[in-house]
Amino acid sequence: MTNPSTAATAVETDEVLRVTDLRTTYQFRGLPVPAVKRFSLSVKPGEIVGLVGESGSGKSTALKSILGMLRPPAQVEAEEIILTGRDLRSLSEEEMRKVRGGEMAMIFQDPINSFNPSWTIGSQFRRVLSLHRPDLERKEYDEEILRLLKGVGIDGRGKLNSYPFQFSQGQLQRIMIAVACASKELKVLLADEPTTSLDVTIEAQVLELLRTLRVERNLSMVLVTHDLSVVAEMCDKVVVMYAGQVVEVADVFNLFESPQHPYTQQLLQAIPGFPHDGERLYAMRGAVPGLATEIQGCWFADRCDSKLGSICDTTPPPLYPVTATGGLAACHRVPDPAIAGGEGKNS
Amino acid sequence: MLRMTVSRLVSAVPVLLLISIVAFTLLRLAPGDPALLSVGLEAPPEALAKARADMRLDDPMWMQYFTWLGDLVRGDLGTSYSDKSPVTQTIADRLPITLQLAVMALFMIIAVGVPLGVISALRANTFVDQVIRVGSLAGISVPNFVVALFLVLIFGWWFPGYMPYQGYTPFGENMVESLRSTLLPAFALAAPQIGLVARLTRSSMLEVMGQEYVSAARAMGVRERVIIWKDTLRNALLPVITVLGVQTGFLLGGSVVVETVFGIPGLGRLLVESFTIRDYPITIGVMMFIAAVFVFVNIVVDLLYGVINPRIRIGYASGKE
Ligand SMILES: Nc1ncnc2c1ncn2[C@@H]1O[C@H](COP(=O)(O)OP(=O)(O)OP(=O)(O)O)[C@@H](O)[C@H]1O
Ligand SMILES: [Mg+2]
Repeated sequence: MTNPSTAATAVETDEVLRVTDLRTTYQFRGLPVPAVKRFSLSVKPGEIVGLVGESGSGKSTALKSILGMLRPPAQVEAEEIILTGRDLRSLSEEEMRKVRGGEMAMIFQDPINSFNPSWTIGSQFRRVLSLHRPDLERKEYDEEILRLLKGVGIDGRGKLNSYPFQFSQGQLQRIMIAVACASKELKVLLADEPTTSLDVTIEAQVLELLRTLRVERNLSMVLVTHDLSVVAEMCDKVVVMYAGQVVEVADVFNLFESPQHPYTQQLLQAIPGFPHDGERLYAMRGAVPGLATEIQGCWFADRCDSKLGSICDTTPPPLYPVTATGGLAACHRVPDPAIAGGEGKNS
Repeated sequence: MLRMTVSRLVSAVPVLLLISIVAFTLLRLAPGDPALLSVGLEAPPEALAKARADMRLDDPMWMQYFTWLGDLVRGDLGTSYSDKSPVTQTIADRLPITLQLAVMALFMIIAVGVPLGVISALRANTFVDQVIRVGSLAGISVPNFVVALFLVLIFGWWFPGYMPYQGYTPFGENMVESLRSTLLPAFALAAPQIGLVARLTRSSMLEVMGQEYVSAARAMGVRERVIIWKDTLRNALLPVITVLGVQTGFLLGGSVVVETVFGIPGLGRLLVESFTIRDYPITIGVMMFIAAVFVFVNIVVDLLYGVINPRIRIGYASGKE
């Protein structure tokens, strides 16, 4: 808000979270690993934004960077990371710590490993309350924990002194969600593949729970997943990442109906139909280039089925606005709608 | 917990029996005749024969073993060949000295090794970390008798008068002097283990810091200090505790060399002295004592591990393994 250019584009003031041009570099054996190179994100209240991309494309890194969880030697730079009007980069470490689990929290892929194995569930929960619930007296904690657990469909009575390994994965993920939502200030929940390690029925229940929370508390979420059916079912908007960069942003409907970036198109093509029609499955050729590689043009050029020509090898495509859909796509085809709509859709 | 304790104690019995058989056999197979050594080369044959009979050396070996084992079960380790005093008494006299040495060494290992490992992990891949890692490796690679000789050289030859480097002042006589007299030997004993513990703590810390629950704690706004001391260190110390347990046994064994170099009259010295004159009852008594301590400490560590690790504790309580 202090930034004049932000004031100029104040049309979208209903954003809870806006990240612009995030870059994160890890160090590995003394060499820089640029895991996230160009990442922007905008989330409205009550919106669920999907974040998809191949393994290693930097999804988890982006979320951890936003939440300020990375420590040196990892380096995080960004033009802005604005959460409800405050630029998180201007906060002190202590203020940032209060944001984590306060206004913005994160849940992870593997529930059993999200809890310290040698502490009881109750003690881990109480610790979070002591950090984020100044409204409660210490003696009210257990009552509140039971209430929060009930909210995620778990009867916690008599179980607060149990250890994580005494619960199932599905139960633990629910408990984790309850812990993450303990703060009354919570605005944004970052969910990093929250259902990947759960079986299908439990997955459906946890997703349902997340949807309920969105409605009841007007929570915004960023949902990382590999499963495009989860995207279709849950998300309002989707951000597609490739090799540390955002390559496409679109409404969920447009993403499936008219994907703009060849990577998205090829990704959708790779989903097997059901029932299977007996044809050979489409598999994307090649592999994601190594993060440390020097690439002049488009990072996807080598694997692209609809490459334009030398421009793809020499000039990195910026995120172009897509007029027809209102989305964004980083492909040289986009400025020329005739080409963009063409080949991609006849799949 | 009680069941676990009992089952561990019971399973220790065959281990100790096996050790006793091996130790007993090896000792008798070693060249040298205790009777001859005790009466002297010039002694008349009758005296030698009498000595052999007194020492029951004419019995077949298995019989000697069972006689000894029978006494052991009654808590009697026999009497020394040389001064005819009960072995249990001799061990009891020497034990406090070795214990003082071992406790001091253990203290150094924990007080130096663990913090070094923690610092190394928190500063992973920086200059500080490199220095600690190289230092630890050096510590592990140098055997403790070399460290011991070096210390004697430093404090006995180059800078004499700063630290006592020979002999032992009894604890009851002068507490401070006593502790000073075991400081160098304890350090010689501890040096290699400090390196080992530092390395182990470092890798264990790094492993735990990479766990998702550490990220999860951070994502919930837990203070970094709390994450390190409460979430990480406690879990990271589990493997370290196990190793420390095993090392306690080695400390007793290692004291043989160190006590000899520094002239400390503890159990280790007793073992060497008694073996030199083939005073079998003492030698085997000390060996069995050290073995028993070794086994016992490991049981205690196992049980402690159970207390810290809820998975094991609760598994036992509910009858699951
Ligand atoms: N601590 C680290 N040090 C060095 N490199 C790292 C570190 N953490 C992640 N990386 C690298 O950064 C890249 C992005 O990793 P990240 O975990 O963000 O990917 P992701 O998109 O979440 O993948 P997945 O779908 O497998 O979870 C990977 O190439 C990974 O190897
Ligand atoms: Mg990930």
